[in-house]
Amino acid sequence: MTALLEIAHLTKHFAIRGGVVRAVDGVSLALARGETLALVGESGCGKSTVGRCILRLTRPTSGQIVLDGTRIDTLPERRLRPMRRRMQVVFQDPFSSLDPRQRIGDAIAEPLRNFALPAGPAEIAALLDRVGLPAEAARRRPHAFSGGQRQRIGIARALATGPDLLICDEAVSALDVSVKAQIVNLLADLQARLGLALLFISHDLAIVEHLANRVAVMYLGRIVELADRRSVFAAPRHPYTRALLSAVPVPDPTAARRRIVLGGDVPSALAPPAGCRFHPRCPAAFDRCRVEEPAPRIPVPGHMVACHLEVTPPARGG
Amino acid sequence: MIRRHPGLVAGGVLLALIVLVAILAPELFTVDPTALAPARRTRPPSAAHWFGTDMLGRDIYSRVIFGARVSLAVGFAVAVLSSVLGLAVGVLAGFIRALDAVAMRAMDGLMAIPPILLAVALMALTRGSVQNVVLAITVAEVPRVARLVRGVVLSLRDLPYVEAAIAAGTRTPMLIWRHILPNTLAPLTVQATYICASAMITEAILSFIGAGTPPIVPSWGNIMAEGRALWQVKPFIVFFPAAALSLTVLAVNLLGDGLRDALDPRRP
Repeated sequence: MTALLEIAHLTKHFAIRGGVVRAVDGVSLALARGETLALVGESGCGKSTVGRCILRLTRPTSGQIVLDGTRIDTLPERRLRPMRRRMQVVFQDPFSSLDPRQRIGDAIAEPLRNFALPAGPAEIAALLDRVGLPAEAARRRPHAFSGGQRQRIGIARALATGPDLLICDEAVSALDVSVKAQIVNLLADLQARLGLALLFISHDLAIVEHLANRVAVMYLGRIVELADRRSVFAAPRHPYTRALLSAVPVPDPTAARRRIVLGGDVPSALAPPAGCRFHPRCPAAFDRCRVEEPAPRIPVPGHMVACHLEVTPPARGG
Repeated sequence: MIRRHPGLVAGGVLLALIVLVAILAPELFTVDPTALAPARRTRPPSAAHWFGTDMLGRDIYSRVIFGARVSLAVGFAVAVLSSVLGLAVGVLAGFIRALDAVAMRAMDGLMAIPPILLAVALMALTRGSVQNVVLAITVAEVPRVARLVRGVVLSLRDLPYVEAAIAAGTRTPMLIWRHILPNTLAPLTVQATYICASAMITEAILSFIGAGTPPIVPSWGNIMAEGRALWQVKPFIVFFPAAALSLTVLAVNLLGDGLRDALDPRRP
């Protein structure tokens, strides 16, 4: 499996009055074709900024983003444009992600026309059909549709150019539970049929468990744990991941639960704590955590954790 | 239509009537509006002079209906000119960061001067004519439009549908044409009606203080100016042009409020 998307040491700092916000501070990850990688974390941890950097809606401060062998983070806009066709986005808010004055047909045709692809009624109808909407939806404007339908329209627009990578930025977070399930199933179905790679940015762990192949957990601009779904959910290793998972509601009131409640708030990204960024809230923190930033370790093959409690076992053999 | 947007219909009908009167003024006038008749001066309204006569014996009714042409022309021209110029400045400032700092500071500077004062100053530099009145009021109104448009553009730029269009490969000129302009036009149209109303008032004020249209052209402002000295004993001289101005401004504002509601795509 070759990586479709590779991100190395990505940083995005925002200069504001009174300092620099380190929204993303050294994120590395890779995404294979057809794979779903979930990027999870609390609000403000920088997960959406990673998505925006990949889409070049904002310019990264440093680091590398490589899409299918082409480095895209430094490409001039003119040369980036053909690459845009291959990565698309679905946003959180179904109400503001469609132009209120644009007919649905025109909204879906816009990416096609941008790349001089056929954008006739047949193509539009096929895209609408793919997301489960009737062809006559093309003639109407966004206000005629519900939140779930609008999200389907947003997905149809994102699929129009036949992308390899779909970035879903909290794409189901604003929807009702039943609608949420429909959209998640639609995404899973589309991914299976079209072989899309999904970067699924979310704070909803229940959906991530349902949809993701691998999970990356972000905290204050860093990835603290990255592993396949089963390992993250069944055997989380980072204290932050454990705390996050313990906060997921379980639909059984009699189930015994041991919640790990974190003290305090997320520290400001303006002045992240020295050492491990999680140490002020970590139940397992010790002296080393306060002074030394933990390097990523791989205690188990395929399972990355940035924590001093972990050690990478020395390579065996020889 | 009437039930859903009563203000829009009422304002539209009233304004259409006033425009019709202005267009048909050469058919509707009873006495030459510039003809002097000192023997019949300051007569109250009568069958011969429907709105009475002024200090020089000129027929106020005929002067008021010809004055409508000046007011409407000034209001409409200023609304269109300042909208177009303000739109251009606002959109460019919203998209080009370097221009933003310079252009908007210049606009702030212009905004610091009261619009009437600015118009008076500009009129002092030129000869009194309707064109110069239009230009002077336009210069005073452009900064307000530019600021409104820039604000709308900046908020639109961050909306997901604009970002989705960028991500979908839409180039900046097309982005402006397809997404920014259509969504700026509704608030701008509403603003334009208010500018139209305020320009008509400004024109009247300029003419009233003698810095507007030359006395030879009857306008509501200079009819009122001429009646000013006598308004306690002969109030009809001021009343009719003032009523015409108020009615026209009311019609335009009703139209603006109605448009604001009607242009909102969220309201069916």
